[in-house]
Amino acid sequence: MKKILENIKNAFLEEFSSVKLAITLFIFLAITTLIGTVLPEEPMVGAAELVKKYGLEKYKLLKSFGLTDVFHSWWYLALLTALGLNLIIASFKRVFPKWRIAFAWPVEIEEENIKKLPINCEFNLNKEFDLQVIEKNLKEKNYKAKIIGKKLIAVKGGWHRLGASVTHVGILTLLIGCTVTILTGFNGMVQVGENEGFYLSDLGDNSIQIRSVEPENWLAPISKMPIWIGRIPPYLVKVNKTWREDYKTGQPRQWYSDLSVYDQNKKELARKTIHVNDPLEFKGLDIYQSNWGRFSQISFNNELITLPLENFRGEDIVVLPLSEDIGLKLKVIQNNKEKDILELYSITNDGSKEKYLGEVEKNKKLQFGPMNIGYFGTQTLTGLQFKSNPGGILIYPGMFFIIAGVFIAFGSRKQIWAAINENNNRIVIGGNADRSKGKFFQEFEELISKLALNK
Amino acid sequence: MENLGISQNETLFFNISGFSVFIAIWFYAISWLNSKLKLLKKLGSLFLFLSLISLTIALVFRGVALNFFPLTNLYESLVIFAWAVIAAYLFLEWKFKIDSFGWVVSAFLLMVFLYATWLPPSQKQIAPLVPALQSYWRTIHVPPLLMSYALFLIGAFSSAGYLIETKILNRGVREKKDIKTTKEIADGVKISSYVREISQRAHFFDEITYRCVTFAFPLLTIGIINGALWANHAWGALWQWDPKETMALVTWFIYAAYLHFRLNTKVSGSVLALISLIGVAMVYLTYFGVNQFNFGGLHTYGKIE
Ligand code: HEM
Repeated sequence: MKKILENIKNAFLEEFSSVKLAITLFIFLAITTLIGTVLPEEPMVGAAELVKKYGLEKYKLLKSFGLTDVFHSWWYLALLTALGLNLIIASFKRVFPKWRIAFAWPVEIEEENIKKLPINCEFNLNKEFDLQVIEKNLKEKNYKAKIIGKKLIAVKGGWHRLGASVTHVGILTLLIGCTVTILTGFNGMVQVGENEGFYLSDLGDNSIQIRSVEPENWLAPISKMPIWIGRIPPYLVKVNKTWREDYKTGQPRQWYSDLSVYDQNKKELARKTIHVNDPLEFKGLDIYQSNWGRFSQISFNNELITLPLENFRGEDIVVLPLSEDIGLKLKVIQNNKEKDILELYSITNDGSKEKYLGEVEKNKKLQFGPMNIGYFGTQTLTGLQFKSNPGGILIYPGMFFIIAGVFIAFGSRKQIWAAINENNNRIVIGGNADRSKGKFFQEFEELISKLALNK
Repeated sequence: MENLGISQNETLFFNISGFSVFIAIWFYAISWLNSKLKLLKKLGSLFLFLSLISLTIALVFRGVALNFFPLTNLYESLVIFAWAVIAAYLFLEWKFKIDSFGWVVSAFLLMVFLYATWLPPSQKQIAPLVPALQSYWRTIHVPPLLMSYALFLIGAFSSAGYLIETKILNRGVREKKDIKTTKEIADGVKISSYVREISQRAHFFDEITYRCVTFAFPLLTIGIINGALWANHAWGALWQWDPKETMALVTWFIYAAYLHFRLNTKVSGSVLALISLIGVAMVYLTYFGVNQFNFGGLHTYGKIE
């Protein structure tokens, strides 16, 4: 029994240390990633869109194969996991051990085999020309050379053999970073108004933020992995102010939010005005400006919803598609403090025709045929993305090792052997290089020319 | 800073650059047809170099007008890509003595120039940046990628050269194990060498592709990681499986396969050349395809608000 387990373990290690498996996985991952790129993905376009595109039957079939969300399907995850295992095991079993041979002397080889080297040549031996001359010439070219009896071995380079190790260390570092983040990190998104604040909270499957009567007591849902050993920081994040700056053309130039982080005793721990590309980073919690917009508070058949206002030709509108070809356009009109109403239009979905239906005053509800519509004013909300990425710091050393490894890997190891034949009248010399053979051949030819001239 | 036109100086130098490329094609092509005309090849390189210099000047003019590194739209991206192709080619030509396909590279460059010229003005104008693009990360993220695309491209030309050499020009030749060459260096001193290919030239093509990939792969890796870091900065997520990201990942897997395939000396050069060609197809699907075929996603800006 013990023996069987041992055999299984060995077979496993053997299989997962092979480069063949790595190549197979690379190719499978390339193909599946390509499929995932070309097919629309559910997290990007939404399930409704996919059902519309494929029809329900086909959608269900594709979904069961994971083809509606390739990158989160079990088999894609399995491929990545296999690659990770392969990388770890191969690195330790195959790549790192190369350290030892990187600087070793080449093994001695016989005259016969020197003649079989990729580049080789024969000389007549005479008094002025012997192994010492070759040794001297090679040392001038920065070779390490030594003579053992009637044989000479010389080598230059070898450092580059470490390149692959360093690169692999880099990738392993990234892998560890990803694992730490997956196990302990989280992320999420909230939309909050000025003078409102939120706590982070694990709301389970509920991914919608929870408002409360007090504006500073919102709960923002975090999204995390199923297996999770992290901790949710107990801070209150408050939006002091939020605004946008425009280009002269009216396009947004930048969005800003002035944020404060408080502890449980309402003591301010940090404060910063963030904008896109300039987040607030506080003790492992990062808060990003993600989007920004004006929202209208509307009730639809007595259900309260918050909808983003679009600025279309100078009008603030919301368009709700009702069916294939007809929709509802809600237009907010706020002239000054006194007037704040919602105008309703029915429109065709291509926007070609529209018909005025009526208007709702702020804090009122009105019945339109089967629909009941209420309007409760507008609010400016800032979209904040937050996340905790504890493994993130490993990205930089990982990247450093990958790059350093690649630079190290550039060299080539050149080896030269020479031997005097049994009759002591001829000398054979030959060489090999593991990379850029063309260049080595050139160097070899130069060496031989020089030797031929000197003798 | 809004809606600046293209200055006349910039246009002038851009045109000089394109015209130099056009001339370089002919010099390279003639020297390719008749390999004795070494001087013409040198002239070809000289004109490419001239093109590089004027393109640099054009970029400086644009950069000054914009007040930052000019990499904000497709036009600028193409111009910098052309710059990278010229620079990479000249470097490889100098360092590894490439010949044989200078005319192909120049002809391709001319196409890039023409394409850039024919872009609608809206794609060329200096437009205000949407919030997500206003970041120094842009200049760290994109240039390594463009440089890697340029190197992969040259590598692919070399692979195509390899396949033509082995499968068309030497079709009759059975896949011999080695080819031996013997050179007489001095009286009675003969060097014999062999390479595991049908011809020296095939060996050379294979080696150039390998060089290009070893330069380009780390650049691609850096570009992808920088992209993730930027996304992290801008959107708070390192990786979102956005089509441009995943296409880049496809490319990365393919070239990783290439590098590891090479570790096995029994793998034939044709397989490697084929992988390099597939790789370059993925590169251009990443570069243009994602936007052109409308895979959607975050790299098509303007939908942010
Ligand atoms: C997943 C399983 C992997 C296995 C089994 C594997 C195995 C190997 C082996 C055995 C070597 C040769 C080392 C030497 O000759 O000193 C090597 C080299 C290399 N590996 Fe990997 N590797 C894997 C993943 C990766 C990944 C994900 C990358 C991505 C960057 C990578 C990048 C490299 C590079 C750049 C080289 C050097 C190649 C060259 O110099 O031609 N490897 N790998």
